[in-house]
Amino acid sequence: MAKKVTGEIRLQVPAGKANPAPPIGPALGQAGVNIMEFCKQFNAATQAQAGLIIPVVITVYQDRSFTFVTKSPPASILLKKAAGLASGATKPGREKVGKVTWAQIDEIVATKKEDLNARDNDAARLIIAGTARSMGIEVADE
Amino acid sequence: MDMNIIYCCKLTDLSENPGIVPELLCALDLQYSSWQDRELKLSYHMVYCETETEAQNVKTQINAMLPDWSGFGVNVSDVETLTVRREDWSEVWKKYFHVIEISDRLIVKPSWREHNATPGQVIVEIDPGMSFGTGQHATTSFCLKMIDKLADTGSKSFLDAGCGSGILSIAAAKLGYKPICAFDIDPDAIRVSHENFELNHIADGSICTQVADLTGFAASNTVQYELVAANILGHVLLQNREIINSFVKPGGYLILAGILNSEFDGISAGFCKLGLKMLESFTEKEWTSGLFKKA
Repeated sequence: MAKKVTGEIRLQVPAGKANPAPPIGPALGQAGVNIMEFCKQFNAATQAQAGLIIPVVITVYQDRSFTFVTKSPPASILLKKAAGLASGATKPGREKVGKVTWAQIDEIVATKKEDLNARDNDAARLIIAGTARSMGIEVADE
Repeated sequence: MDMNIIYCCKLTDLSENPGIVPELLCALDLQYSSWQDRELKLSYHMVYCETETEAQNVKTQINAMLPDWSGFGVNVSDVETLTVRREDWSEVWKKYFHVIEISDRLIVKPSWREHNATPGQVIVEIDPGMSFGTGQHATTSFCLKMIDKLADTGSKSFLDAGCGSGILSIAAAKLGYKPICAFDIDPDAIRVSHENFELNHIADGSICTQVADLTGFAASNTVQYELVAANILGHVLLQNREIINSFVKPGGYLILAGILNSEFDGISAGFCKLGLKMLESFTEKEWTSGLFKKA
């Protein structure tokens, strides 16, 4: 069938636990996407990854049919893991809660390279380093 | 606090890369959804909050971070708070789907809508899901009209090239076409087609299906069909016109759909050079479709 894309919905959903509550319900409902069908298919596709937060991009076509793809883990989760943190700063920008090295940033860039859609490697490093700063994680040379 | 209200903070995003802000919102442990509108070429991000105060705090927090975010390509033009009425989200999407009268005889409807069929009417039930072809799109609608129109000239063989949800094959089966074959490059489309065949009580095996692209199907196919529907993107139709033409029996018909208005004349000319004659065309919004007859 000739598919024309209307738009894309981006969400982060716990693996195997999609349900019609916000944010899924309002986001898909306003786009006219069959919410229960998405939940069923997403949960089936991610049930083996229980416990993880899965970024998902849902492509919505002109006749309101859809497809979805799951993406690599969010940068924030990879950063927390790299910095050995349970959570980010409660006052981001003012509070430093941890530290990662540029080498760790590069590892995260490698993991997320395809999903970041950045112009080049330098732009991808800037995005990940900026995400770290937002969380109160300092990026150090060593 | 009104329990029927969801408090939100909405960001209007003009960034070249719409994937950055979702990463940043996740980094702030915020619950959000993002909508990238392909036609308007902008993105909205909605952060969902429990209270008005929380939504205001999120707005303040994001506004404070925008100067830093702009350093790596984020261009958020507006941050505002708003409310969304809480609805039965498992049902609300259904309001977009209605009974569609393709012709006096052929009706397409989702399973939850009622329709009192008159004698002789054919009902195709399609629930929207993971494959294109709900009947709502101009290209699907034209194909259905042509399948209905040509059904009166006697039982015919039918090929559904790029079947999506299987809607065209189901309509053809209910209108008496046989044999019917449907193929699609997407395995999900074939899975969904079979679910829809069952929903429409189409007997097992009465529509043969295959996961294949045009070249792959041509390699295994030895039959020519009296009616072929190819609702595929325009450039794919043009590139594969000789293969598609080879599926059509001499004297048979070809429906071409999925073509942007600007592409239609070129594609039509390409097929006419192969000995096909255009009988009619139909334009709706940016899409043009055509019915062709093979000499």
